[in-house]
Amino acid sequence: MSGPEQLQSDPKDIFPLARIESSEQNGVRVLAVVGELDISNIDLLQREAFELSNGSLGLVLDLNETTHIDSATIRLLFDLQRGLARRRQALRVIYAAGSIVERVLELTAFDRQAPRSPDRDTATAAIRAEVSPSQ
Amino acid sequence: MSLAEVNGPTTEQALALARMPDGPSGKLAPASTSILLVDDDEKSIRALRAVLEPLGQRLVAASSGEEGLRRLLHEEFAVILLDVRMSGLDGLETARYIKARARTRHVPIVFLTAQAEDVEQAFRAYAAGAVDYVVKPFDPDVLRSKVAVFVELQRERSERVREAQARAEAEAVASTVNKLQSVSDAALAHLEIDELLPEILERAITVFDAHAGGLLLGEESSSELTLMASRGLELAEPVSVTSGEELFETALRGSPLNAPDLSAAKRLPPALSANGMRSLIAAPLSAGSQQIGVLFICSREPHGFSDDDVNLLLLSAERAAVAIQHARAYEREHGMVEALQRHLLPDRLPKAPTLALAARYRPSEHAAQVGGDWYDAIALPGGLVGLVIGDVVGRGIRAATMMSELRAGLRAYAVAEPQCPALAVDRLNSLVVRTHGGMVATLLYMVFNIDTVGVRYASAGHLPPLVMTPEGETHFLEHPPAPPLGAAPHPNFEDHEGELPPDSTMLLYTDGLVERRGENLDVGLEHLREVLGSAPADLEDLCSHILVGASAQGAIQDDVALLAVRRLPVGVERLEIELAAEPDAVPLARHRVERWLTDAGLGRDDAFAVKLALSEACTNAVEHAYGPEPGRTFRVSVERHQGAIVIEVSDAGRWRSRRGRDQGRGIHIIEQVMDAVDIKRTSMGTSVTMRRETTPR
Repeated sequence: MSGPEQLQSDPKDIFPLARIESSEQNGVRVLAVVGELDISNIDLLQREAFELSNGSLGLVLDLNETTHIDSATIRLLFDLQRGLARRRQALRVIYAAGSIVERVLELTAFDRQAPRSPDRDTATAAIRAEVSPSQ
Repeated sequence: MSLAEVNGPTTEQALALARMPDGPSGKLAPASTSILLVDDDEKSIRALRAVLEPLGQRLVAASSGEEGLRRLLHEEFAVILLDVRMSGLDGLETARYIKARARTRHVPIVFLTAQAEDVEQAFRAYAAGAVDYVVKPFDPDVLRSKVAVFVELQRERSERVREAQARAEAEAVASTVNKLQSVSDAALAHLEIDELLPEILERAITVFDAHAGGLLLGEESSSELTLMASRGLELAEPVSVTSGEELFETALRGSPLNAPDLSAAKRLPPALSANGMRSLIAAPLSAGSQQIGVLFICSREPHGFSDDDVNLLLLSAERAAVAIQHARAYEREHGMVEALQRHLLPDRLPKAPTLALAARYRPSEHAAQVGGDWYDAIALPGGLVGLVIGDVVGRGIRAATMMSELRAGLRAYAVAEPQCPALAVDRLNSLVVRTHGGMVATLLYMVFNIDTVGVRYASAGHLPPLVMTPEGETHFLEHPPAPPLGAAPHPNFEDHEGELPPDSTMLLYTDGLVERRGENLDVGLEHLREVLGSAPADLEDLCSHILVGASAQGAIQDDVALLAVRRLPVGVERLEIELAAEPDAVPLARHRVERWLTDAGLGRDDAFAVKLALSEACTNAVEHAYGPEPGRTFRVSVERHQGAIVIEVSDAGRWRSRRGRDQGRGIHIIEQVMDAVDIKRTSMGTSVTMRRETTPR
């Protein structure tokens, strides 16, 4: 019996686990995560998310193309929700029904904290309605 | 020893000699014929002259039978007038001698006699038609007309002979030309040197009806000729000849050799006599002023060859030498470019733990110059492997040079942009546009991750990769078209994603493999699909099979580069891995286990659950086991156990106490997706054992 496989990697040289695409829609920041999120790369999303300017109405996290999340993401989501709420900014999360993301959010009851949005238009409209009810 | 040396004739002399027909060296009959008058009576001669002069032929007089015979030795005559009654050798006896000699047997004789009965015996003795007689005193008109008939007969006969000789000469020339062409015809021009030499030899031996032969060749101004091809000779060791040996001197001198008896020969290779050869002729192989070798043929008979054979061999060798020089020159250039190209191809493919690679490069069967096809495999840091297949449009040194630059360029860009093939290809395009204006190349660059089935690639006008599943189903990895490198200054290359599942095989190839003149490309692609579908499992054998299959479809006209890659199935026995206790280990472990789960045939829900639980357990080990101390590791093991998957994640540290309400979320997730969780904390460390009953697929 030979010993265990030694797995090593230089994180800068592998395919990035995830790519984060940032855009602006109707005064709302949209961050889309393409790939996997875990403890090794959650900092990327965290940095982008907390760089939200005070002028922004809120943040949409588009996890439609996210293929893995775990407690590292859940932790960030809870932190984000608390942080944004303090700044009177809103958070919406986009994910597909029946997806892996939905299942992890259900497992951790985050789905009860921030309702699922099916797409960006719905999400940004919901944020505008929540933050600026007069409009 | 008798080595009869033939002084080197010029080509023209040799041709003239070779054209000489076999058989009697009879001179052609002159246009004006001669009449021989044999009579010992001078008055009678004068009378004959007076009668025959009006015929306008040459009249030769002889005053005796003996003199007549002497005249016949030196000259041909249309007719002989022969007096029967002569002193010394009489007419009848003289006639007997004339008829006894082959050369004069056919010459008509007209006897001159006073008594007809004298010649009746002669009539019976000699062939009718060849003999006539005139009774003295003869009627001048009768005699003149009789002789005129014979003169006319002779003229006709001479023409027949001339025609026959001309025909024989023409046939001999044709035969010589045929033999020469046979030894050095145009078909030889397309042979490579390895095939050319035996072919020349074979033909020479056939033409001369010889029993053996050989070709000795040397480089320019070399002091040795080496036997490069032989036939009919069993050789115990390599044969070569040097200065002082007859065959070497033949080349040096530039003139042929005729050795009619090898039993006494000392300066010829002993191997010839040892093989039962008794005679030999040899001719130098000369290309311009340069002597490049010797062509020799042997016979088991002594004196097996004539001088004509020597001359014909000389001509054959002249032509063979030209063919050999062409083949050598071709080989030199082809060899140089091919060597350059082979030098640029990786001599060894990188080893990746989960990828098997095999490659082939095959120069064109027809083209004089090799093209700019290449493949490359680049081991990138972090478990990535880049595979490249490319084809520079054009041939020869220029294409090979550009190919070498593309190869070097891509190697640099691949390392700089390992995760983005399109960016690397884009940079390569800029390089081509800037430095190789007007030249174009197609290329496909694909990056494999040793831990995941996904591949990412970019194509610059290259043919799509072909994938075969473990079940033998084949499909092309289609992608939207993009221009070749060098075709546009700012093309928009894109990354494409695909998959190479375990035990699947992918072929990257250049168009030489599928393009046939006058054939739709789709036909070639479809054929390739079929060939791959029937390929053997072994990857090296598979490559050979692909090349053979492509050749069967028609000669491969262009160069071919071929790269085959297979993702190896991972054994489904217990997996045990060790990783550094740092965040990057979490995806690494997850991907490695994911592959194991795929190989183990786990369903989607089970795989999701196990991956999630593993990710949480690894996160705990990385975050809580050691703190910021570097160099610590943790282990993961996965195994199937009675229909369940059992994962164990163990570290040598102690989980630090929970900080805040979020810290227990990982364990909470594990407990929800796994059927049993056991956490053991000891002084030796912490281990989490998780079990999930799996659903059969």
